Amino acid sequence: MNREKFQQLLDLHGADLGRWPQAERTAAETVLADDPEMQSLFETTRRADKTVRVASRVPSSGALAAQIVASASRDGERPAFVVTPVRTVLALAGSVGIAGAGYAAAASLAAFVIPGAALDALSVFAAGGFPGAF
Amino acid sequence: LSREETDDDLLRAAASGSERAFGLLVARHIDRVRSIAKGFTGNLADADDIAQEVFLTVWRKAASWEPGAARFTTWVYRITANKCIDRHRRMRLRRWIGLEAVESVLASDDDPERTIAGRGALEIAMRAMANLPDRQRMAIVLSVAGEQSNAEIAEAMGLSVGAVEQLLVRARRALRNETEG
Repeated sequence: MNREKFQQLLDLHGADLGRWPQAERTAAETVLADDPEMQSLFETTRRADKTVRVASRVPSSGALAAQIVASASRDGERPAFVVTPVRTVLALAGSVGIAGAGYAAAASLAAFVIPGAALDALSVFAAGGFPGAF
Repeated sequence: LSREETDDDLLRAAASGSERAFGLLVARHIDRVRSIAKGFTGNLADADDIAQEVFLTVWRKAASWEPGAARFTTWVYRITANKCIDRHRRMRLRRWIGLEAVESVLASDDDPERTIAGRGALEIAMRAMANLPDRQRMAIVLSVAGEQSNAEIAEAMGLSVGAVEQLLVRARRALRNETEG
């Protein structure tokens, strides 16, 4: 690994070799052991990363977590039901299924109580009367 | 023993109104969210406000989140990044019209690290952080404090991996220049 590659990986992944691509780590360790200039660059990057960690450090706050949950439980803006594309498709499929089942049940019942000719006429009416229903 | 509930399990339960599940999600992720917000804003009170807004958004939008589309953490960090950047824009406007002193951002929290590490070097470094452009600062904070991979940062910031890599390179070089010597 040359210096340019080492510096590029250092800029991309920071001064924690554990976060570098696995395939590059051994070569990076060799550079670090052999090249004082890259050692210095690595150390400066480590300090810069530490700056970010220190700037980001927060004391633990269980009280804030509890406060957030309490606020959520009082929140009046949460919608009771949210329509998503997946839910819409499922709802339509369910409606079609229920309607289909209803049609089949009605047809079975009609076969028992209505004479054949009348049933044929009724089926034609249903096919024309509810275009696209099924 | 039942298996530990995943973020997806908890979010699904929260979407159905479970405050217990929502509470577990908050407890699991709040410190990381606050940490990212603190790194970006440099101010603990702002970070706490942002964390509240982030989790309230999670609560309100839990039902519209679809498992498999993205990891829960990516979604939460995306909300966090957006809230941070929006808030910072508002603050900059307030400063520009003279409602808030620039110094107050760095002077307003009482982080014990400042006492331990010494104010001088730390403040130079914090100032270097504050001077980074917003997107560079968010990328480096998500990388170091958020421990996110470059691909995850790209997803959270709505950018390509290449764009994130450019931001990280610039941010690290700028911070290195400030911390050198």
